[in-house]
Amino acid sequence: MDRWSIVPNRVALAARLLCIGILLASGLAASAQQGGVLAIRAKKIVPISGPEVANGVVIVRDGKIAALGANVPIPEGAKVLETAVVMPGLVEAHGARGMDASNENVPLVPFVNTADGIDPVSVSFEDALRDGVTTIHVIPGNATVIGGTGIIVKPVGVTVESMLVKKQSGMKLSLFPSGGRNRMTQVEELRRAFEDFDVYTTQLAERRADQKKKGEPEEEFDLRQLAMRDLVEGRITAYLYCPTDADVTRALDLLQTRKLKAVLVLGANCYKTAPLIARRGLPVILDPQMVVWETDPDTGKETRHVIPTYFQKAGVKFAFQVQSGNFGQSSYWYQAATAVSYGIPRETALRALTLTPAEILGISDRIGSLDVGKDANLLLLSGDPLDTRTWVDTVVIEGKVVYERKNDTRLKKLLTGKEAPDAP
Amino acid sequence: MRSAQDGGNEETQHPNCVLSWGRFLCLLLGLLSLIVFAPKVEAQKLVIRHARILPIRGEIIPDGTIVIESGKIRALGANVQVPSGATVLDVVGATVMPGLVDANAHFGLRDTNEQASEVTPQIRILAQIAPRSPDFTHALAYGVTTACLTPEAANIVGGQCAVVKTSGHTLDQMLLREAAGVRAALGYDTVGGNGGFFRTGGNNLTSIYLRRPNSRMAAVWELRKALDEATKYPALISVRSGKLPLRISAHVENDIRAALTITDEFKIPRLVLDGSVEAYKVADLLAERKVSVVLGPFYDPQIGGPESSEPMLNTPGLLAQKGVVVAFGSNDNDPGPLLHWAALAVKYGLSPEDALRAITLNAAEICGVADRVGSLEVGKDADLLILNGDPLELTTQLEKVLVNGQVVYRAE
Repeated sequence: MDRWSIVPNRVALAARLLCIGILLASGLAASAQQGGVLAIRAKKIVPISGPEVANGVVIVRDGKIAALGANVPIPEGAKVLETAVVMPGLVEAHGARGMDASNENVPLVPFVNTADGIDPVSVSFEDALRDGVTTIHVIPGNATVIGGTGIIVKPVGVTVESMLVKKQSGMKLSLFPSGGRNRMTQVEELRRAFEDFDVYTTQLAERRADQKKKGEPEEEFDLRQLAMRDLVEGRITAYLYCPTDADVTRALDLLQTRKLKAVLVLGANCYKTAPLIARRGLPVILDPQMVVWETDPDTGKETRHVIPTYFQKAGVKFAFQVQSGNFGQSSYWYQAATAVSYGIPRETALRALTLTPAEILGISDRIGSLDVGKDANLLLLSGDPLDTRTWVDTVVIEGKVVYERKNDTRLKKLLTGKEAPDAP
Repeated sequence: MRSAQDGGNEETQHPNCVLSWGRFLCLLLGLLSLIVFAPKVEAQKLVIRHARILPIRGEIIPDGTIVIESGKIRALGANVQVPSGATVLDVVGATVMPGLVDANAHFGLRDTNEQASEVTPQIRILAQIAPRSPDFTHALAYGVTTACLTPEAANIVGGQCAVVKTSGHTLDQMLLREAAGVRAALGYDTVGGNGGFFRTGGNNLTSIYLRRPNSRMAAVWELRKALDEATKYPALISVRSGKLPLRISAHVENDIRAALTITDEFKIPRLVLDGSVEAYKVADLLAERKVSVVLGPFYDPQIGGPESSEPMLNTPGLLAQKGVVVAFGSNDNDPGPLLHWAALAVKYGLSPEDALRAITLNAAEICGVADRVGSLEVGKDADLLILNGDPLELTTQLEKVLVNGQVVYRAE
């Protein structure tokens, strides 16, 4: 198996440099073709990081946002796109797009990385573009103990390398008992994984000291422990999956002792612990199901709980998740719009699709809002972002038009039931 | 996760046979209060003013008044006199529309496939309904005030459907129509689990018995035979005479065509197709024969399964455009978000008028209860929704649900 993302050997390095070279060359060619500058004239700019601007222009140069505002002149020779609304591309904070199996079948696999499992031509990336998702965190699933690390990609490109935004972005830790374990064993295995790592590093230090004394070459750090070291030393973030409130408290205990950088990935039944999570200042990724019913075991009375309102009230930063299968719930627009119907402020809902997940992923310096200097990941919409009848007309990633609804043959087929006439 | 929740719900169902002292007292108090307050309740009038009224049948009233008396709509319009002694509810900026009608639901039902035989037209879903099931509470929170409860589709002829309101503590209070159609089914649902342990390799077993049929062709034959022997089953006599609609669950094109062939053979006057995701392929044919279609639940384009078919997102729009009467149904214990489905259907091409009709009046007509529910008209039941905006926008909140003039759900 090719482990280009983990083993920094010379062959892999050379291959990667070659790839980057080709990409750079093709990128330069493309931007040269486009004349370099793109101007988007919009009836409304939704920058997320600031107030909305009526009748404004966004200027894109070299894949970055060069200027934006109401009185921005359009440079000579720029390619001009007109639209009703322009806003930043959506950011998926947690998902498994492109993975056919997102869980390894042994419980402790911190050393695997989703880069080695993604199918770049998966239809889910095409769906992402159609939905306006321009940045995607692909992370292992919840059915292990330590499931491995994820990578951040954009939904364009036929190789993982060309899709890459940030490699090794987060480590999945799960409190969900799976593989025949019960909750006690699950938590115990999680604790032990860290203890074993401590033992390894202590013993390695002893061995190295010994080797140094003897003048022998020092033992190398075990490749399988590298990702664990990154996690423990805070270079990567822990994504702790907690299916219930009880698991949240255990996750918080673990974080208390281990001082990891962490994000909680919550199940639908986590809402009572919102104030506890708020006290720790942790961000959360909500379950795709945002409304749960609780049955009083004595009276049979049904109480409806709208999950995002608990975190909104507690002041916890949250991002949405989607799931395929349920009509609507597979789309971030649906999640944000229905959250607004439950009383979440519009600004919070839109932020939860863009800047908040970018902050959670630690890439908000590049992605998540329309600000000068940030990557030009833009959506050109036919109307207001939360209007049900709005379509994503055009998607721009790093300054390049990567999706146009008018050329979306699959969408045409989905809407008419007929193959497009020019389809093979 | 869902199964765990379902399990939880089942555990909490009430053992109706146990009449504790507490309950007895409650009952007594309830009876007393009935005697004391009953005349007052009878005379109670509720007026909803300054609402944008979507009556479904008739013009939209931008600023209107609805007068409700004894659970019925007594008057509605732009210039309606407020009767004296009425409770007045001013809802400036809100939209009022009829309560939703789910045309194909399994709320309050468990085990809705009878295993005794493939052809059971005589059984009635009524006997299966648990009035206190949480499903009904959940349905109200989605704005569903009326539901046509149907048997599921594992039997070729599964039994008789009934229409209930989703609010009430007893079946008597809830019941709108005892017999609203006969459920039949074709396709994978009817044959998938049959054939005993060895044929299915232990998978997807519906029954441990060696049931028939095992193939689509035999499913069609069984339906033909049942209709031919209608004299054996009173319910099927009603279907052949047109007194009850035949509701055939048929998802894919060949099953839809088979349903049409059979109804032609027996000259069945009223056919309703359920869950026909491929209805768009035969839209002209369905329009020509005046077949109604109940769509739902709606899935993503990626969904697979034994009858895997890439859904056509504008199926409701195309059917409506051809003149087919379209309604929506959740086809599940869990109520589907009918308003959201309607909103998305509009995005994909259905007209807003047809979308609202699909979840109200069309469904009421298909289920034979349009004289009572499905639109806001004088004399009809006061089942209505109060929303803080356009019902076809996902950002709109459902604020209140009224059934028979009483508030039965309120957003927190």
